[in-house]
Amino acid sequence: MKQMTVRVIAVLLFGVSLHGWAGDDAQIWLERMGTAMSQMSYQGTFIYIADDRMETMRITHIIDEHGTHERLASVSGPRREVVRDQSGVKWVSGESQAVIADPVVNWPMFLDQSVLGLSNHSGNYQFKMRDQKRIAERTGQRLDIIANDAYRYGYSLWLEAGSGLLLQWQLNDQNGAILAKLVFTELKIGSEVDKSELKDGYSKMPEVASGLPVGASIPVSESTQWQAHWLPPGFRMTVNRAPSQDPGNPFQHQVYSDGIASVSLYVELLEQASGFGLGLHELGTSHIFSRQTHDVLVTVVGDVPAITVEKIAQSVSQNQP
Amino acid sequence: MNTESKNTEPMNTESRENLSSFMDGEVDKSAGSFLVRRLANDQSLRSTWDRYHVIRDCLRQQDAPLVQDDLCSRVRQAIDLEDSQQAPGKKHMAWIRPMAGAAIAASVAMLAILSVGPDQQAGPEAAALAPTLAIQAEPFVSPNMGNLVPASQPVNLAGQRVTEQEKAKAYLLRHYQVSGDGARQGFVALVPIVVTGGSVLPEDNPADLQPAEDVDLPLQ
Repeated sequence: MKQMTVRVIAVLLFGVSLHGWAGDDAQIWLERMGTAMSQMSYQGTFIYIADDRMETMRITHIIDEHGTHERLASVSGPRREVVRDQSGVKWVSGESQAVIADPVVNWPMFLDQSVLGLSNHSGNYQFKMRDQKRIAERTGQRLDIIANDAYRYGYSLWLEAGSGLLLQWQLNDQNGAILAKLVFTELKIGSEVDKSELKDGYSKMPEVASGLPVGASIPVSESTQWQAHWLPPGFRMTVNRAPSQDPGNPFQHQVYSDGIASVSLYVELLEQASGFGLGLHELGTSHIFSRQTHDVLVTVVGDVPAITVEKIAQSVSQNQP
Repeated sequence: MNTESKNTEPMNTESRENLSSFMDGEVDKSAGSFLVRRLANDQSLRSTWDRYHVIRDCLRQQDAPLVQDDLCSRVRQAIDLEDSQQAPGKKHMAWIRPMAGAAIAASVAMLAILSVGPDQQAGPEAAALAPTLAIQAEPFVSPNMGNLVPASQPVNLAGQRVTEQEKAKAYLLRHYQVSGDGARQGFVALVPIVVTGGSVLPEDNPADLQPAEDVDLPLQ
């Protein structure tokens, strides 16, 4: 309960300070969105359009004395849902598929302001406030985030005027065209949320581990065995993880970010990384590039253009001891 | 006291027809007033009303054109096709005439998606609309683009084998957990994981690829 109280106070103080500072500042709106999306309870139905698909989905996100609980589920078609809570992430992809579980690794409850701050100074994006419009019976303030080069995507966000919650989201490519669009048609906030919708449909099904080692956090300044030697302007390493219990395992997971976009670099023993092909892949709006070097599989993933994951992956090499 | 209706019963066809007519401006004043009162108190009706607006916006391209095969122009083409196949006595379809509400509207949209392959060009109608849409869409071009294309041709994992998709999702979910994207964008980062889940290729029979089911009802 104490933890919950601290969170509520933090959100309130943050909100008050934002209103008192500069309500129309794009960067502050972005930070408000992050805080609202992670710290508020909300529930709603939205339409998602991308890559030849249009789907209706339901999101329930609840913060209570036990922490965060989230369930994202498709409303129609095969049963597909993702459930997140303090124990990690579980997801199922269709009626006949297994439940895949990934233990919690490092789910940040508050935004890393130092990371967010990168975008203020690096000049990799332009932030523009646009007109408001009404979405799901609420007033949405539009914020455009325009990428300054082709190595990252741009976004158009419509944020609820009172809370900063996301009402509409668009992912834009380097030419400004829309790659994906998400629009809420109904949204409840706070006490309006029906907690019973958190109940997933597969809690009694057997679980299968995702197969990725958890690892332990390592200072980003520490030298690593494998490293990317090319990054888009403004990107820097923000997370560095490796298995602490098994020094012979070359598994590495590094995150590089410019404050808005981020990519992950995975290095795995080839024999432990079975099941995934080499080359460039896309999953929704995400891109994945894998290549073999020596006896390891190097994989770079992220919601960035294909050229970005490819160039980063091709630059990865083993540091000299 | 909160008087808002908690009615979650499915709306009937008549209600949806009335709502559609209301959007088209085809109901008289008293019926309109009645619908406004219902909208104020019926959450389900309001939600449907919002969905109609989203679909209509897509049809009218009010925000911006969707890239990726010009989805919205194909929605329009499918509706035109649907319209041309209606009985001769049918009056007109102002933006969409749902036979079974939003589900059918979504199905029409899906018909457009499925009936035109990704390599096909948008029709002449879309080309004619383009200048207008460009103005409506508020040009949004990054200043320093260049022609950066990857050396590799991406393989779409939707429709690939189960293990390929699951491994990709494991990478992405771990990425979202660790990177902070989950905190920054919330659930949005997870949406593609759910969307692509319905179209995996079974391991035991790779030939059994089925198109994903995306919409509420098939178009009859």
